Amino acid sequence: MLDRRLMAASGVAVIALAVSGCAGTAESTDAGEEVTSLTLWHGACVTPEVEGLYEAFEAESGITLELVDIRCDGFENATTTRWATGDRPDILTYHAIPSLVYPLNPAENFQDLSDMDFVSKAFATVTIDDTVYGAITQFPEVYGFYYNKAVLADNGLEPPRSMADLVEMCSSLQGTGIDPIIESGASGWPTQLIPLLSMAEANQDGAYAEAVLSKEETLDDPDGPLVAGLTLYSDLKADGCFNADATTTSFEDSLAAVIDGEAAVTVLHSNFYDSLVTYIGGDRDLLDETVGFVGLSLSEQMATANYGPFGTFYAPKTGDAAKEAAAREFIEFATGAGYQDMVDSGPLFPVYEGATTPDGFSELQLSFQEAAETASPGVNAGIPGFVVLKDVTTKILADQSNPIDGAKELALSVQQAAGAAGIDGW
Amino acid sequence: MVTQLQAPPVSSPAGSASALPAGPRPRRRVTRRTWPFIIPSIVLICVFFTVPFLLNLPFAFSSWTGYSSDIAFVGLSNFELLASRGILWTSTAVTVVYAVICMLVQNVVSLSLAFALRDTTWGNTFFRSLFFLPVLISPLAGGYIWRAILDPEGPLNAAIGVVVPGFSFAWLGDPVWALFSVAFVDAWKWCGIATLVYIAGINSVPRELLEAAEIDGAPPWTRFWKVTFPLLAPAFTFNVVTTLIGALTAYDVVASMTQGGPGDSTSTLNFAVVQQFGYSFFGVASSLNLFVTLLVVVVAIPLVSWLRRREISA
Repeated sequence: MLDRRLMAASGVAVIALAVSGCAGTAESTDAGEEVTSLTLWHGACVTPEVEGLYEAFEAESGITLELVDIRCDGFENATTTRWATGDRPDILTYHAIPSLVYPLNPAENFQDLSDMDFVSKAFATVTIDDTVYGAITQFPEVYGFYYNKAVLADNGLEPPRSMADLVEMCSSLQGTGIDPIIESGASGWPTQLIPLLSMAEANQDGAYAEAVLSKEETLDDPDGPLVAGLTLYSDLKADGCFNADATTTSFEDSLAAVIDGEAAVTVLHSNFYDSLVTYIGGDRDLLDETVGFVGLSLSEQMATANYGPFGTFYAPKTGDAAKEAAAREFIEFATGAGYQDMVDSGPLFPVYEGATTPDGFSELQLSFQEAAETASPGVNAGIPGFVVLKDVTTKILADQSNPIDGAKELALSVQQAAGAAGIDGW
Repeated sequence: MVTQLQAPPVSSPAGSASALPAGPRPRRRVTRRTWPFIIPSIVLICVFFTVPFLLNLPFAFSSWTGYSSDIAFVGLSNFELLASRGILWTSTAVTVVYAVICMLVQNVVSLSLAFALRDTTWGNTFFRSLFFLPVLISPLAGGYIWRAILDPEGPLNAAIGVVVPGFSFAWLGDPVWALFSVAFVDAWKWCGIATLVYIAGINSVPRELLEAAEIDGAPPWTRFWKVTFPLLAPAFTFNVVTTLIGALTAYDVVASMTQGGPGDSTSTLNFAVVQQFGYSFFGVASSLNLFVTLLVVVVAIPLVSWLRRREISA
């Protein structure tokens, strides 16, 4: 008798424990119900201007934003892995490029924002199949080379005007004790930038990406832009142009090394401006004296630009009508009433008609704008599965792959993703 | 635990204690009194292992992705894809090497520590606690700490630099050393548990057997190999199996120390699973998950059977 009771009690206790552990916290409210908080996922390295926007919204609406920080190294994987579990924020901050938005199945998971006011005023929106899913609030990320002015001047060098100049610059700096190019292998994603930037000329107005998607071009064509970019990267590595600890350096280290004059150049994007200002002690004039920025492609000064994840907002479908409405309210504020203050707080270049461009841009910020004027969209923006480029380049950096094999691997990834995305012909 | 004592045959004056014969393990009957203690484990295993495993099975053969709501049966094409992209074999090779290093380091170090700390003294109690501390640290935190230690400008290189001026080495930047380093850190993390198991095993060896061997003139090394080690077999089985399986399913230390790099030299199977989930290829990730499970089963069952055959009752 006692045994039976014991058995029953223990069984019930464990089932209760398991069930309580597995129980969800789903809640459902009416659209009219008052919302006091919204969860917002964003990259932990968010800019101060966007953080200021959050605070302004909280003050204006009385709604608390519960910020969920996602680490910036591996930001995409960390976000999508969490997303895959079925967990949903009320507001998602994520990339603006379609190739990275496709895997989140926007038609199924995001609210349609097409009818909102910001759409008609925005320079760009996240639009897939004629439906607006995301609001962009920041100037595009302009990809190019940060260089230390003194290092180049002291060695009789001009800022490079093409990738060929970069190779020459590397030769000139060999043996000086200064790393010609500081590469951030530990962060992973920056390693793809040199091949990506080298394709800018081929991808003007998205031409190369379109040719790949329509199967006019193949990614593993030995004479194609991708293999050329990977070959350039491989040659730079073989020629000793990168820092000796390239595989263990993070992008934060590389920015610091360029400011400190330990390296001549590093390839990153313009949204790290605030990090540079912070590192140099907040002195923007000193930063202008120390660091310059230039966009480079294979044979000319052409940058690559993509709208980035900072300040790109989506309103996921959560099943909670009140919170879904409040998330749209946040996007309305971010692109409307709160927008000009955010732009002024930077200062930032506005991306909405009717917004005033503030004064006070630094020389470095103006060089971003100048580079953006002639920039090409990244090849990675329009091709699903291109995210694997960073895996290919980290392998080349670690001497585990070569340009041809890398291009083949990327082609397989694109085949897999484009097929999953239902793109015609794939 | 102790059901019968089989004393070793004591040989003539010059003889030494010989290997103890392996006897059949005593079978324990499950009685009505023991069921209440077994049921919670069975339920937990069902809820947290069996059900997820069964749910994972159909997805392993499906085209489930984050890209659309359509899920179709695709047979073995997920495995073909993983093989064609080199992910399956690279990650398997990395995982097996990683697991073997982890298992060897963990057991050798733990066994040595157990012998050094077997007596319950104030000093040994302190050191047992000290060596157990890493177990209490989050694997991610431990990984980040070691990543800083192993940094080219970190304290390890600085310490070596005292002896070898100008020494600089990127421990996590070299494909081979990175794998060894991460496996060592994983072993360091879990050594404390294995040490406690070995201490318990050593202290359960009957003193009279050791004394008899000593009277027979067996030197310390012989006493260890011929008496202590055979009687440690249950602890050895437990530690070898758990450390190996633990290492075969490694993820957290890898994620915090190297993110699978440099290149894919530390990309274990579980790391590859998470990566595929991150790319929204849930079906492919499920296939890889199934492969990990089968690998663990294929390794664990024969290993346990073989090790259990070696065990004897003390």
